[in-house]
Amino acid sequence: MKKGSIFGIVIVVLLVILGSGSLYITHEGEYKIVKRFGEVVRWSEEPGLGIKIPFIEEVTVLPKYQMTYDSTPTQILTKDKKPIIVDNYTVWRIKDPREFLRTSQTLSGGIKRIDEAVYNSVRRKTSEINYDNIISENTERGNINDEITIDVRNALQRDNYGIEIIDVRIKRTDLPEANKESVYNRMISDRESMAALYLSEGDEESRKITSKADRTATELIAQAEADAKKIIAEGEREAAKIYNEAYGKDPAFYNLYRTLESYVTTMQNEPVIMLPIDSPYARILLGKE
Amino acid sequence: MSVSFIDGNQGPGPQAPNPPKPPEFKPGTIKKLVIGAAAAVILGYVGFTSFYTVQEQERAAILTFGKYDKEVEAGLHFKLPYPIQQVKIVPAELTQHIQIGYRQEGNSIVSVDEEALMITGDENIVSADAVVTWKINNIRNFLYNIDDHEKFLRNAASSSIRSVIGSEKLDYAITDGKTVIQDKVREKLVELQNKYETGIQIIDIKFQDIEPPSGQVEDAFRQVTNAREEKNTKINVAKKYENDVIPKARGEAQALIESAEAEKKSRILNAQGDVAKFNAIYSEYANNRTITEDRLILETLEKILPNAKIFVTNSGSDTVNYLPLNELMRSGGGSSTSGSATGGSGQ
Repeated sequence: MKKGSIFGIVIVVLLVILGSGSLYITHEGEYKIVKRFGEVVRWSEEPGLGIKIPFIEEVTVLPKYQMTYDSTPTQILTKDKKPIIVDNYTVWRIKDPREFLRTSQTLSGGIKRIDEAVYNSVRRKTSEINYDNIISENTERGNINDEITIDVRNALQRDNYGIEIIDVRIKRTDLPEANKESVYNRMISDRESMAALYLSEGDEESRKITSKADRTATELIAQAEADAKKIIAEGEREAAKIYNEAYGKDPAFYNLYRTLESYVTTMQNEPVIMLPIDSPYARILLGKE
Repeated sequence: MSVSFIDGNQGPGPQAPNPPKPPEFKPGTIKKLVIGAAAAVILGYVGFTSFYTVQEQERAAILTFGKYDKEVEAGLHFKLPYPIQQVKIVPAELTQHIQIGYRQEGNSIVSVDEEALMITGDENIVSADAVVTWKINNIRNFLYNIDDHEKFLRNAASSSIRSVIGSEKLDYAITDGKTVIQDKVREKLVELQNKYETGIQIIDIKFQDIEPPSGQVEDAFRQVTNAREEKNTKINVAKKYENDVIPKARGEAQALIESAEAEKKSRILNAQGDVAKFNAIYSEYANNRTITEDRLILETLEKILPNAKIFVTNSGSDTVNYLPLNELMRSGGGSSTSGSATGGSGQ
């Protein structure tokens, strides 16, 4: 019983060692690469259990999922000779683990390849494009991100790195410190001129409004004065008509009547009257016949 | 229930380390105890690794031999022990946020200039910060298609914002353009999530601020705002003047018209009055011309003469006789030359 159980345990341990040595699990999002004496014999990309020969074959793992690589920002000179700092990120994945292991060995090795390709491509492409097209990302041939992506993809495919480039994209564009300062200064002077414009526009509008108001007021008064004169003239005309109608009946009497009336008004206070001695009234006054 | 079963079996566990103490145990019993303890340890391990709880806002992904098997909802669940099954719990129902251009730590907000500052389409620099609201909508992609979801999201958001702002003019971006820009950024960001198959659903992106860079530039912008206000003030002052002057002028104009109308009316009425008087006298005159004529003359003289100084000239002798009628009437006696005539005419 004792010997038998020890034997049993040894068997179990051996089975476990052999089992774990001959079975492996490929997880979601990873490649399991089976190497025999350092040479890649096969790999599995579908998750699940796999079998290998214990001790002879060994398994390494590589990510199947997409990774992002942030390039260090690079200063470039655009086609119109403006300096600009471009910051890219790259989305990539391992497409062929065998090629990847052969050419890059490790992930950091792969990243180095990508970095070189992206750096070259970004430098070349951006130097063919004007500043404002880089900023807006729109070039004559489409989108600059797409152009760079295709360029990097082709470069890495040509050299069979087993890497798939999903996207290379400008994350940030920046200006060298000195240029930034001059942009700020320009923005400030822009605003200053805008502020000055607003102020003088205010004066302009104000003058327009006040002078128009003055004009309207003056015109209103002038019009009213003209109308008033017309009205008064109408009154005069009507009065004259009334007088004419009445006085026209007997001009001689009117003459007398009006003369007498005007005497009353003109000879107020202490008038001095010269009467010839032989005038009828003097005669009445002096009692001479 | 199964848990209590495991606990029950763990009971003898602690006794296992003390076999030397009770020496009366037979070797067979010790062996049984060792096997029992080993079984308990294994069962305990299985128990603890086989039960898991999924919270309300979470979902769990079950991997069987590394293969994505199924997704489980909230509650207490059982799985086969490692390495057969593995469970990955993610907050799939939770709405999450990331901040672009600034970070909020507790109550303090720190701006991240290298994310916030960007070049506009008209070659100015603007500072933009935003919050992206997102949730997981495909657990498998979220877990196994990307390496670092935050990095993916932040890079995609930064590049989308930069790209849209890079095609817009500064003034538009900082004034009316905010919502339009937001929509365009969201569109781009969603597009990128689909392209990368991140398993992330973009719920919203909202700009906190799109504004000129802080410092001197900001001051200059503020001065423009002030100038615009001042412009409006000037216009308002002018309008006030306008509102003051024009109604007054209208009133004055109306007053002029009214007074003219009054003058017209009074002129006519006067004429009518004069004419009425004239007509009345004239009708009498027509009845008796000489009498009326004389009467009128005399009446007029009566009105004038009381105050008049009358000189009677003798055309023949050039002598001037002064007849101070009024003085005579006032004093009753006089020092005039033609005294003889005065008495009769004075009364």
